[in-house]
Amino acid sequence: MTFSDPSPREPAARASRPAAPAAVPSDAPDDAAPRSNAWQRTLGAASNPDLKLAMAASGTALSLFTVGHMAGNMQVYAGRERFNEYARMLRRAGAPVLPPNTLLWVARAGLLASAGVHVLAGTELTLRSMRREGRTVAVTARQVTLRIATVVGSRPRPALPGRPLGVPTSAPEQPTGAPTGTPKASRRAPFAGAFLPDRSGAPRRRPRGRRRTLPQLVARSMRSTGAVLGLFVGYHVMDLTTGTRPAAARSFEHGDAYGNLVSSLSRPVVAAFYAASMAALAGHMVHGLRTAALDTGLTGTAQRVHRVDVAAKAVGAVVAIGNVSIPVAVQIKVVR
Amino acid sequence: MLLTVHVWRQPDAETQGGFETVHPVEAREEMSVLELLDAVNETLERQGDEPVSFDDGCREGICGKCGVTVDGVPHGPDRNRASCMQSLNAYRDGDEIFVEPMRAGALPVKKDLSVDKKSLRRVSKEAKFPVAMKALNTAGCISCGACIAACPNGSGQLFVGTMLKHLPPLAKTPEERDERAAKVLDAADQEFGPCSLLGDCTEVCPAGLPLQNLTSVTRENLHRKFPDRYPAPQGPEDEGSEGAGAEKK
Repeated sequence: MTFSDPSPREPAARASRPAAPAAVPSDAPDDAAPRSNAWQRTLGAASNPDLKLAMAASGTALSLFTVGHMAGNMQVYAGRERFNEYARMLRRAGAPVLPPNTLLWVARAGLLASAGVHVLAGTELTLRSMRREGRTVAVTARQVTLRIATVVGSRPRPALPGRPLGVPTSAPEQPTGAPTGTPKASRRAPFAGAFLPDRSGAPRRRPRGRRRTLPQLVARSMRSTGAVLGLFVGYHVMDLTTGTRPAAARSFEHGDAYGNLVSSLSRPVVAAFYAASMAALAGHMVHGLRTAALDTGLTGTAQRVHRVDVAAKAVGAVVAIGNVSIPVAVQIKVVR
Repeated sequence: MLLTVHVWRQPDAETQGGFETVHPVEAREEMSVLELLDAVNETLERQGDEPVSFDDGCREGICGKCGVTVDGVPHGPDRNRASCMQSLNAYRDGDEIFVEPMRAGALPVKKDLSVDKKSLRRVSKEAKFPVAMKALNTAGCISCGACIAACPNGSGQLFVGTMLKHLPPLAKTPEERDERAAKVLDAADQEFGPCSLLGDCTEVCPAGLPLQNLTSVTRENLHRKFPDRYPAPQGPEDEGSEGAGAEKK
């Protein structure tokens, strides 16, 4: 393997693997001299269900925060004074007893710890699943970049003068003069099959009736949506908490939460980015809550699987729609 | 109909394999995947090549020996059928089919399309082999390994969960029950990857095992870690504590 394998849990029976040329020779050094580092002693020593429990606990904490955050956000519709008063209340919570900002920093520390646990456990679980599948980080990264390149290369491009609308093809161009107004409808998998597993030369295209639906693709995109959410949170904090330029708007002013929100979301690109991130949040939360219910043993019957599914979809949809409504409202000048 | 079949050739476990194109293969829609491979071998023999080897068994969908990956789907295009019970309804005259072995780290390729399914057996042995087989038989699992092959994480949680769900009534004492479950959990951790609830396993499982069987693994793990808070699941009828929506606020 081309990455340093952090885990000593490689089963001895796994001497040979199918169809993974890079994977076969490299287990020897790990088996011969098992290194012990902090990662191994903590994450590497935990079993899969325990790591999943850690994911479930930290993910549920973060989900509860997003629910509360969304509910707080809704006060933006109650006007500038109410919203700014809410922001001041958050800073002064526990005021007479505790110094200001104490509870705020406790909450921040808890969220940061949850996010850290979530990312670390997710990384270890991902590495484990890759090892079990006989993949390596390097090969997977290559496949992912190849897929991204494929998607970028075949994306539908806007019609410009002299360039027909639609998906560029490597096939010979149609004779000029042919109708070019509409893109040719293709029946390929969503995103040009970019999220289908790459099996070293095996076909991307699954058989009729077995192609993956969008919810299935979203469910297997937890790592991508999680990365989007991580980047989004970084931007969101710089934009509306610290007011760091260029993330924040030019007129950022500490203490005026309402004004900062409006001036930030008045920028159409930022509003679109917030909306897209909320789509990622919805996808991540729906499948995350579902999986958390599995990992805590709640889905013992088919009826409960169904109920959890409905509840997870409802929570994810409510949070995402509630949050998305704000950039939309700012853009259409309902909130200003 | 005439099909072009790209079939995986790999001389042994160590050598790198690749697809070999076999054309033409005379097929009918009602043929199973294994019958298609028979037709592939007829073409190969006619052309003077070595026939492709694949796992073959009862051809009635009950032995769990067979299993190949067809166009990226373990067992084949029909849902919840073993390779020997599939049909070729998804294909039309002139189509290309990619047939490769089941893909999973726990199922190393032996030769061509034939894979080593001993990892399933190693997990079963931890629960006293005859007892594990009885539990799996009760549930209908034929230990074909398709759930592991379908899972992008290489997780066998559908197999393990089904076994754990049906193990408890077969134990004489609670201690025996807990010990077997713990051993199975450890072995599964060594052999298989983590579950992400993607549900691909339930689409390919020839026994049609349901998604809620996955929960047995997590419940056994919780019982093992916190025996006081989580009582031992007592078998397939024990549905666990009520409160599906508890954490959903």
